Amino acid sequence: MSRKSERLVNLTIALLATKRYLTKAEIFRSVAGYSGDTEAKDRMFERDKDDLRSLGITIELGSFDPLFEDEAGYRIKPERYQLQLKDLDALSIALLSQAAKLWREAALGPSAQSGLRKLRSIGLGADVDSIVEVTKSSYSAPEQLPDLIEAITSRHVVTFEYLNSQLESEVRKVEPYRLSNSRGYWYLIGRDAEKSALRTFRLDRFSSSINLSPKSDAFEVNLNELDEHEDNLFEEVNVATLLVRKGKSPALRNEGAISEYNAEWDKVEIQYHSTTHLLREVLWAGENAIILTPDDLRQTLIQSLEKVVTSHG
Amino acid sequence: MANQSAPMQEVARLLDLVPFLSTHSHISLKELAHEFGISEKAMASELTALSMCGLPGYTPYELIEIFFESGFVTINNHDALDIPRALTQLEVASLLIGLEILRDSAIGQDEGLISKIDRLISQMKSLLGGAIEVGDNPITAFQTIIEGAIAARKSLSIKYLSPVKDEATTRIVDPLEIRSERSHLYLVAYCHNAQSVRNFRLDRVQEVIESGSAVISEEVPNEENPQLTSVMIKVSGDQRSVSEALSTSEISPDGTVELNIFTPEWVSKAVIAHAPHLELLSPQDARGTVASAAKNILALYSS
Repeated sequence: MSRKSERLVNLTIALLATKRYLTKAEIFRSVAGYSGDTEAKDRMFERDKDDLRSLGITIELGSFDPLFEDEAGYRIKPERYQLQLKDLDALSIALLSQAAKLWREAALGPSAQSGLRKLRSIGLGADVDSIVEVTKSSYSAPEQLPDLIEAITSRHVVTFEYLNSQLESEVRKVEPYRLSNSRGYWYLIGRDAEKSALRTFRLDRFSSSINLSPKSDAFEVNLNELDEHEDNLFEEVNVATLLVRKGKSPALRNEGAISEYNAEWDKVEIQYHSTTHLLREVLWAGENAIILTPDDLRQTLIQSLEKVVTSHG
Repeated sequence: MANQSAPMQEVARLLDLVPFLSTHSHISLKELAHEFGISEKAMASELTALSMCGLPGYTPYELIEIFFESGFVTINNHDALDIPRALTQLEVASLLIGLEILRDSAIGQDEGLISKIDRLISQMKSLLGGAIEVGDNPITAFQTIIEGAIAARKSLSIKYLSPVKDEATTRIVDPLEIRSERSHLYLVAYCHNAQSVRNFRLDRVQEVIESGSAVISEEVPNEENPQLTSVMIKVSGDQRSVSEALSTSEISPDGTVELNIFTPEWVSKAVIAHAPHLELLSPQDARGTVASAAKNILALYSS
């Protein structure tokens, strides 16, 4: 056990217990572990503040009496130090334990466990192993998730290697804004430094681990821009009309509004945002689907197939 | 925590030990070490360190008191630190994602539990301020049923969207295991219709019903790959999306890739679906199949 950990614990206790702001001089005089000349102590204290912040502990700077120009001091407000969740009962704790145990050895396992430990400190017991019947396969999350969550919440710029559409690794530098999960994939949305615009990255296309720049609070999130970006991603702007053979192509049928066309075909209207994706789905259906509109989609499909006929002839 | 050094992890443990001990008086050293994920020896030395900490002054009156009584631990004089610490964002996110999975698994079970989980989820979400969003989850309610059937050696009737047949078909299968590969979950099962072992992507499974009948698949045919065909494909254009769709990362620099596949019809379908970015190089006769499949589709557009 290093003296440093003890000093940090002692500093936390002193700043939590005080009812008023403690000046640096008072801290150096009273908290165990500060040694050397004033400059050395100052450096120690600055590092300690950063270290405690990395644990989520905020040291506030303020002065006891704003009317007097007295020296600013420091304290930790108990309301910001303590567990944010109120009114938890034994059942909630039991459910949270079960949620934490789903991770087992997966990437988020250690942080789920440390979070659970804090919750169990409330002392409600509730050590029930399973209330909800759950899947036995342990859930796996991308290994980059902990680093990215850390980077998003502390606002570190990240660099990583990413596979481009030609499967080559490219170095990307990104201000990470948001992580989201959909249909089995994790996505990072952030501002790409080089392109100076928001981009979405799929985590399974990362080809390296994440490198966090040392500086925290390195950027601000532009929420309007973020919402706009996501709207553009998920807004289904285009509509295609297809004919789908009766009893066939459940995948296409699931995506659109179906109406009767004739004895052989149904008409299906599909909203889509990715031309490539829709073309691929229609082509998977082979002779069971025809694009009626839009015409450019129809032409793209015809030209693509003509190329296939030529190359395989 | 993501990139926290060992000394900082120690500090976090020391701070969390205090409120934990205060509600778990007379806990055994063994249990305590297990709870905090470190060895008993390390825990004993961290407890000793904790007994050196306290309020300024650091007289016995101000120091935290730790008692070991025949392997059991008690804490005293610890008021200032006797507060469970706030959850970090990473901890909140981990618990939140766990809760989302739990809720998906709970579908069809106790309604009261589900609304309780929902309330916890919204509490957790408000702590994150929108930085992390968990959408529809890859774990489906079916998974629980399937695992139950594997354990109980039951057969299942599944409705499956077959990309090759382009139909939803109902099959009787004997489930063997659930396997995770390249971001997708697969049910590996002996399929009575195909009379061989098949992989079913779980997100294409539409319905699962226990079909009760006795399982015969204890003797699963050993030749897992009965008729594996080797095909050569040349990829142009978007190599990444092709490699993801074909579940292969072995595209050589000139764009060719060799695949070993079960169902020859599948290759022809895949080449058409990725038109015009794929060319089937071999086997030769399958090239003709691709060309005529493309012609047949084109015929639909000329009438």
